Amino acid sequence: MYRRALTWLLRQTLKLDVSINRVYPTDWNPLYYTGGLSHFFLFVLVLSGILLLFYYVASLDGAYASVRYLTEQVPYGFILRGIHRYAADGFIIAVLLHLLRNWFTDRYLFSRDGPWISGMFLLILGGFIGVNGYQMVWDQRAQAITEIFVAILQSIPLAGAALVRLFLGSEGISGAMLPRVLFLHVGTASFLYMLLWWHYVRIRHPKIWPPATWVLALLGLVILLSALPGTRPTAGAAAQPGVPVTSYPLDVFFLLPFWLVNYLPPIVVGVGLTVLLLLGYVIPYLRREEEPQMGVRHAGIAQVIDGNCTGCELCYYDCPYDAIVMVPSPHPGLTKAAANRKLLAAVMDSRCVECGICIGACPFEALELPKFLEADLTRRIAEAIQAQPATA
Amino acid sequence: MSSRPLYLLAVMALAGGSLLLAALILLGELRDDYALGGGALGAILVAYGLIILCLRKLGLIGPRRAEGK
Repeated sequence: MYRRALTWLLRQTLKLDVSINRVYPTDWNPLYYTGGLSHFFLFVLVLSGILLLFYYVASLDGAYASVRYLTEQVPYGFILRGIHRYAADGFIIAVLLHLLRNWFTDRYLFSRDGPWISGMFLLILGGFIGVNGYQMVWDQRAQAITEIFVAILQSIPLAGAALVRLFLGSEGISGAMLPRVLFLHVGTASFLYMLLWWHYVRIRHPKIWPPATWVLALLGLVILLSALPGTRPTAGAAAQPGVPVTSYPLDVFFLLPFWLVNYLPPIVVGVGLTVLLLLGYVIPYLRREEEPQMGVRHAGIAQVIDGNCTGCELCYYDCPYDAIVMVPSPHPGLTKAAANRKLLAAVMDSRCVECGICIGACPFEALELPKFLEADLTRRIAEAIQAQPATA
Repeated sequence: MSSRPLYLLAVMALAGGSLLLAALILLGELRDDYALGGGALGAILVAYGLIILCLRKLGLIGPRRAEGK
């Protein structure tokens, strides 16, 4: 059932690609750049965030006033805020499109499980940073989502009270909270770039930047939305801790869980989100029952057979993932060809995708995939040839 | 029928529109109307993006020039 649904979704995705390729040149199809678009929006967020930081005061008395000053007094200040806000929406849309596209096109299986898992972390942290961003304004919406967030934290058995105290810095909302929120916003955003390294490390030629037409059009759209009267960011009413907030504007991209709390207990929302995220993490492993080629799912990280390596560097040049480095050989090899070697190949585990290209590159049988030995492969090919019916 | 004249027309219209938007950016600056200046700036960037797309469809830029023919 699951596999059938994915096959149907794959077909629809490819049909959509074909339709869009009729409008855009194939190498400018935005669906081929969902990752690059996410990166572009993240870059815009970082740049606009740095500028916003110059004006922001992280205190209960100063936060709202500083945001209001930026919005109403600083030239183009409201546009700067709008760029940050709409780029965040764009980031989430691009990330979700990226996730769905890679899910539907099977780009999460085998050696791509690393990018998938790191991508899930990026999505979660991106959403968390977005919620922090709304808290930083410290208007009535910020107060409402802080209260709901605290209620969700409190509903966690055993650790709830400690987590609330850690987040608020005291028993209730106090001046210690907003510096923490600021740190969570900026510190976590910086951490995203470390996760991006993990996300890209095993991908050959990742498209990390969209074509110029999309950069210009989307940046323009973000600025335009920030300037138009209906969509321009405004400063709402200031937060008043202790006074209940009856209504606040909702952002569907970041604040959907907070809307759900209107209808469900916080613990149910918290558990539901956790289950959804855990399901996201296990997606690469749901199709384990599918028999991969030659009966091998993971072939194992390539291993250098020390005695055979001649230091010829062929594997080093052929590896498309830059997973092989040449190091000075500590001792001569065992074979005649390897007796005078100066270098020795070494595999970087974190970069090897177990593709086997290095095995094909090596004429000295100095590399092996431990769970997919060359001798086994040769034997299976011979068996397959023998099993073929004889042709005239 | 070739769509080349259509793209040429679009490029000319967008370029003309961009000139107008550039004037609006200046006007916004002169009047301290930041919404006007900012809005025109956003719109001009969108127009530039579309101009590049049309030039690409015409085969004048990009790696696959034959695609526009």
